[in-house]
Amino acid sequence: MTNKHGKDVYIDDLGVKKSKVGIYSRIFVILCRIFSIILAALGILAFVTGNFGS
Amino acid sequence: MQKEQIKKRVYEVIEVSSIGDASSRAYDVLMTTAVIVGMIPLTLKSDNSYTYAIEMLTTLIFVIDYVSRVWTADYKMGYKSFKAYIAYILSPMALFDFLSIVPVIYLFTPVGASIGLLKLFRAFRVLKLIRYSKTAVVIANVLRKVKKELLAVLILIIIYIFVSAMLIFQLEPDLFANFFDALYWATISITTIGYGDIYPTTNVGRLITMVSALVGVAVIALPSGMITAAYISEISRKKSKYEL
Repeated sequence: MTNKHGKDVYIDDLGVKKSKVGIYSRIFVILCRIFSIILAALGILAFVTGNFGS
Repeated sequence: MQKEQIKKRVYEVIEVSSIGDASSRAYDVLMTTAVIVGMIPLTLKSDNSYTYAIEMLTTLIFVIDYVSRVWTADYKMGYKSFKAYIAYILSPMALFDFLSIVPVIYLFTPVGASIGLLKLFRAFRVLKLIRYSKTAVVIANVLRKVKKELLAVLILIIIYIFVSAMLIFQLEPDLFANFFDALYWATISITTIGYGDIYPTTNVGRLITMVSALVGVAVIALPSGMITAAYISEISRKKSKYEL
């Protein structure tokens, strides 16, 4: 299938055509996971310091 | 990617994930985490630096989520019109989404009693979880099925509470400072909680309390039975749907 939007496709070092959409998705997933971990850590810290801290 | 394609993809991501959609799944996990962590400040007596960071981060996430949902409202509502955006903004889930953003206002304004109350709006965030839980959807369907019956029982309970409160208020005027106290006593009696902080001293008052307790056992148990029956019927409906 031809892609009318050349900007969405790039050729990697091995000469394989790859979609940038896939990369954006991967970045999005990683960002979501990072934010989830940061939030969970903040939540635990807030709960522990708020209830058991001096 | 064209604008419409991006919009459609954003809609797919913010909606509950379908099998194999890693982005949507990661987004669901992030939103669920944000909702749960966003309520942690409610478990603390006072705010600290971590709660401030939580409030800022969760509100940022909720604002992005709300804007994305409003932007893709035409996909959600199933028709492309300006009315779709208005209908979506006024829908219960969109209102809960909006209320979950409101608590951030108190961080930027001098603390006052009314502003402090905004903190309580954080509790609305838990309603955002409904969209990510299949069980919550089943419970919502069950409640929708028996809403008329539940409303009838609720009206019956309210009438009984008012009548018994009026009777006891007239029979034992020294016991209650105002009618609200009598309403409180009637509610505590009919629900069979019985804290015992207010109790009748005359025989007629005690008789009303006994009747209230007996009516309470019968009336309060009614909704539980209705909900259980509707829940079982919903589960069997789902099972037969999968078996077909």
